[in-house]
Amino acid sequence: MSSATTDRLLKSDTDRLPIEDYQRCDPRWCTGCGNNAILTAVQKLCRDERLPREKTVFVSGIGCSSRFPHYMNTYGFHSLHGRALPIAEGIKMRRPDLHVFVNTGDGDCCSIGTAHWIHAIRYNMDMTVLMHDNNIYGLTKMQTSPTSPLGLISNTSPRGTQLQPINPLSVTLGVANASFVAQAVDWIPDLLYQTISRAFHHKGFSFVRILQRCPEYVPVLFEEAVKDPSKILLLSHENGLKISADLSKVYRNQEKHDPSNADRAREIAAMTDRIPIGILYHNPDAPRHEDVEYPDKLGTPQMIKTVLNEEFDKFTI
Amino acid sequence: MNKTINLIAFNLIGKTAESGLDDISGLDLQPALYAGFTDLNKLRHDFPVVLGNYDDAGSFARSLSAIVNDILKKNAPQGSEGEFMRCQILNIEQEIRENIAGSAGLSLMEAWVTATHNLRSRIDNNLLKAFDKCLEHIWGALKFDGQIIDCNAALPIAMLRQAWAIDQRKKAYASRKRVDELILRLEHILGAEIKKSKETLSPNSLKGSVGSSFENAFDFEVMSRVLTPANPRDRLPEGRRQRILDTLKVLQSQRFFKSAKWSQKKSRRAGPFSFLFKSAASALRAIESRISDMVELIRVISIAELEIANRYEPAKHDAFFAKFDESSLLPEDLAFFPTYLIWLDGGPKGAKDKARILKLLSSGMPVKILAQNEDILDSLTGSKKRLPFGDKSWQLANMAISLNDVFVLQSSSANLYKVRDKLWDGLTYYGPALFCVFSSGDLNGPGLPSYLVSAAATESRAFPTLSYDPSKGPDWASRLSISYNPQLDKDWPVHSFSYEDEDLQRLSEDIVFTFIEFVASDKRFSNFFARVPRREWSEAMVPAGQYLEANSDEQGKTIPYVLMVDENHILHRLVVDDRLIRAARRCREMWHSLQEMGGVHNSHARNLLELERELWQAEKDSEIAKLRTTALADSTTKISDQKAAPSEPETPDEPEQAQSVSTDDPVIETPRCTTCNECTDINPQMFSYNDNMQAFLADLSAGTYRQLVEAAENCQVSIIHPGKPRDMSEPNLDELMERAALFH
Ligand SMILES: Cc1ncc(C[n+]2csc(CCOP(=O)(O)OP(=O)(O)O)c2C)c(N)n1
Ligand code: SF4
Ligand SMILES: [Mg+2]
Repeated sequence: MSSATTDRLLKSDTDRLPIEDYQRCDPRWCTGCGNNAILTAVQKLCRDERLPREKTVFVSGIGCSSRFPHYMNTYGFHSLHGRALPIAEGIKMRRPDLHVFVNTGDGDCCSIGTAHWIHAIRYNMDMTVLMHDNNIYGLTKMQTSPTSPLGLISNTSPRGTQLQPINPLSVTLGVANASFVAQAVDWIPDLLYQTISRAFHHKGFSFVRILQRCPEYVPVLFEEAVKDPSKILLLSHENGLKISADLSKVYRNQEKHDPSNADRAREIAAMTDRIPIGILYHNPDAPRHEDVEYPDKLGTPQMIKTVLNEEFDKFTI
Repeated sequence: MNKTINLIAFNLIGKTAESGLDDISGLDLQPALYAGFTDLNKLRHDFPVVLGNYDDAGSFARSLSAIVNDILKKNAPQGSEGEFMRCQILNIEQEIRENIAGSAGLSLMEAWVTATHNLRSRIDNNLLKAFDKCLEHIWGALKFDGQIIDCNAALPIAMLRQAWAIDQRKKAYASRKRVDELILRLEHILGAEIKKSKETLSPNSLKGSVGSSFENAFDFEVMSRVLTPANPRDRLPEGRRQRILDTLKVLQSQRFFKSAKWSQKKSRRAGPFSFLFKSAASALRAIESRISDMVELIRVISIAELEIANRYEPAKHDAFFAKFDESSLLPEDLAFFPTYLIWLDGGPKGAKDKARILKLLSSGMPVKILAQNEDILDSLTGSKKRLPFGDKSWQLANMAISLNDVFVLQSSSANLYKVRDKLWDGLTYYGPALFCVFSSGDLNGPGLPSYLVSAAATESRAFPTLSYDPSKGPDWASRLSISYNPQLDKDWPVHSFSYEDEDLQRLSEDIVFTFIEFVASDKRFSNFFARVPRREWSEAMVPAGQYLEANSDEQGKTIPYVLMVDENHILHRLVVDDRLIRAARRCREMWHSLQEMGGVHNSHARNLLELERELWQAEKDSEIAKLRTTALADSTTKISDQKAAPSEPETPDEPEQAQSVSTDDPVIETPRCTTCNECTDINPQMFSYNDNMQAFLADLSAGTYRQLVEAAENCQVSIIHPGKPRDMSEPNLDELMERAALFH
């Protein structure tokens, strides 16, 4: 919260950094990797929203996708495998003024980090979570991930995986207090940008699953969906994505879906014949952790000292 | 004939002498409709109310009946089993109501204890055990407590103050926290500087921070040399440091909110400001003397916020803040401050006071003014010749509404509980608010309960309830609400009234409650009425409500009367002085214009509707006429002629928009590019990224057709279309063109 005068001054300040100022170095992803498109969309968002670089932080776990913070010229935390969310939560708790983004992979989020993921949804802290889902462990050179489709041959399942994949959208929608759930694909930049932008503007935990191509290890996986627009279903709504006329010419399967409709969102998430793209669910009123559990007292140095001393006093030597 | 003349004489000249009419000043008469309400204690109504001190906005006031209903609903078993409990609790409620005059200042719990004590002393001995058990149960269920107060002159300020205190507390908490947070964050900025300072990194200070256990393990001289930064860029610029220090000083010494540090140290500085006033003049003085402090506080808050966001730019902002003054304050920023509660008991005192109120209301400051009026008829008492309707009371509300951004609530104290939500809205509205409340005092003689008189003021349209809330929307329809008035669409409310005639036959008739009935209940105006002895009652006498409705012709033939009862419940008719009739007409006109503004019988809307209806009718008429003529024509046209009638040509499907670029030219669908680097890796001069990091053809001549085709083949999303080669001398063109054909 800031005063109306401050808001006015900041709004009148139209300077914005060029996109290059948000780039740190050339990404070390394979050429053709879908992560590049995600990086571009995010850098565009930072520029358009004029995010101060010193007020923005990208937190990731481990994986190809988790290298993301290295390529952003902002604060970043390339953390431990599966632990991006608890670290992001800690940052947000202590520094609610920062814009917190999380980059996580399908292995990072849906395998080793699953417990954190479930509880992060429940906490509903204000952060934007991008789940780069290439259906594979990329960094460790092609092992089956929880989202790998049935029958996918990989180093860990040479005869093809036998387990049903997890559906990250259905899982997220199934957790109490889910507040923003969307799906994007890396190869439709306009919608990818719109989705991330909507996620960023949602005050709460926004979960965006991005289908991300890994031409290195699973080159054919999304090929059909990239080439054949009939495999895609676009979700449009005045409170969701706006589909341009040009895109509508290519992607004819469209559904007007009101993101406040949780039941329909669950049905859409469970679709198997088409890939739904857009905002499945949005509830701006879900209680946020920072509002429910906001500390009553300010963490002044004096306060911290008092509390610490009280704790120490419990241990008499 | 003679008696009629007497009546008319009274009606027109208002004299009672020798007219055969009785002076009523010695009689204890009340409007007939009051008959059922003289003992309010027997009736479960909105009063007394309990003023709860809870943070929950909705519950600053709850009526005793509502609290009791709630307890009954939650605790008394259904059916006959709960009958005893229900009975006892309702008895307690009744007892509290009866004692209310003696329990001023008591809390509900205290009043409850006294009431149960009284009841217990009267109860039958063999019921005592059951009674005690019931009480014990209920005592635990009594969750809501607070001061209990009846509908009297003390009510308006008590209710408003309660709500104000709750809101003020919440606001103070939020604002103080904001100030404290800013202080902390600014201190952090300075703290970071200290952590990097030479003093902190001096050998001694480093030694101190390590502690005694390991102090021999380090060479602090060397450590200090390594750590001491040589880079002057890390230092806080002096201008910024000073600005932060100045800002901190103002934040720490502000007097609008009690700061945390206030209670810690016994500082010598002045204590927090007070925001409760009993006159417009004192409130104005206070506001004027504090305005520079307000400006300064908002100024430094903005500076602090910019500093904390790392967005303060001296070149841009110094000049702005140097010129920052009263005119720079925005309404939203003013709402940050505590609200001023100003209680004007008796309303404005003279024109000067009115001007001050106007000044307060148009100051944009969060001032909440309660103008409490004990007498709305006083303008009737003065002049004998001309009797204006007592519109003085309306003036203040009207004046405030005309300011446009003032929240206005007008209500009698009897209605105040019903409009408590509006009261809360007004208090929490970010700008000024005016509450005009009529609360009857003892002016009109003892005997009538204050509740009854103030309810009658609303009922008779003498003091209608209205609220004007500028935050509700841009127009009258959304801002003004008059819906709390009884029988909104009528001139005067109508009630049915039953009585027995001389032959003990039960009769019932509808009685209109007008301004005249309201005045008739006020002893001060007895000379405007004269009693007509029963033997003189005649056909020519009509109830005042009916008389007011009649045209002047009819009025000439009739005499208006009001129906009254005495203490023995005997009905009387009083003939009414014509001056009062004129005052009542004026009151009705005021009510009409209020109705119009509130959307009831709106003349503009009615005219518009009429016009629309006429247009619609004309349109329909011409359509019907047309249909008639075609039908006539049709019947004379042969079927074979029909093809002569021109039919609408079918509009062909819009042709697909022609491709503006020929397939011969190479193209990249830039908006679909996913930044995969494939093409830029092949030839960064030929393919380049635009501002959005999406590829476009930067320089065709910088590469070969082969590269164009390879890029098309490598492109992950197939958005590169190579077209035809430009340089026909390039080798292997045939093969390349064949490969390119896949991407046209
Ligand atoms: C605790 C731990 N266990 C295992 C690993 C090995 N490891 C590194 S990345 C990775 C999987 C990454 O997959 P994903 O999150 O999908 O990222 P991608 O590379 O596909 O983007 C694994 C298992 C590790 N680094 N740390
Ligand atoms: S291995 Fe796959 S996911 Fe990883 S950088 Fe290469 S293409 Fe991208
Ligand atoms: Mg992966």
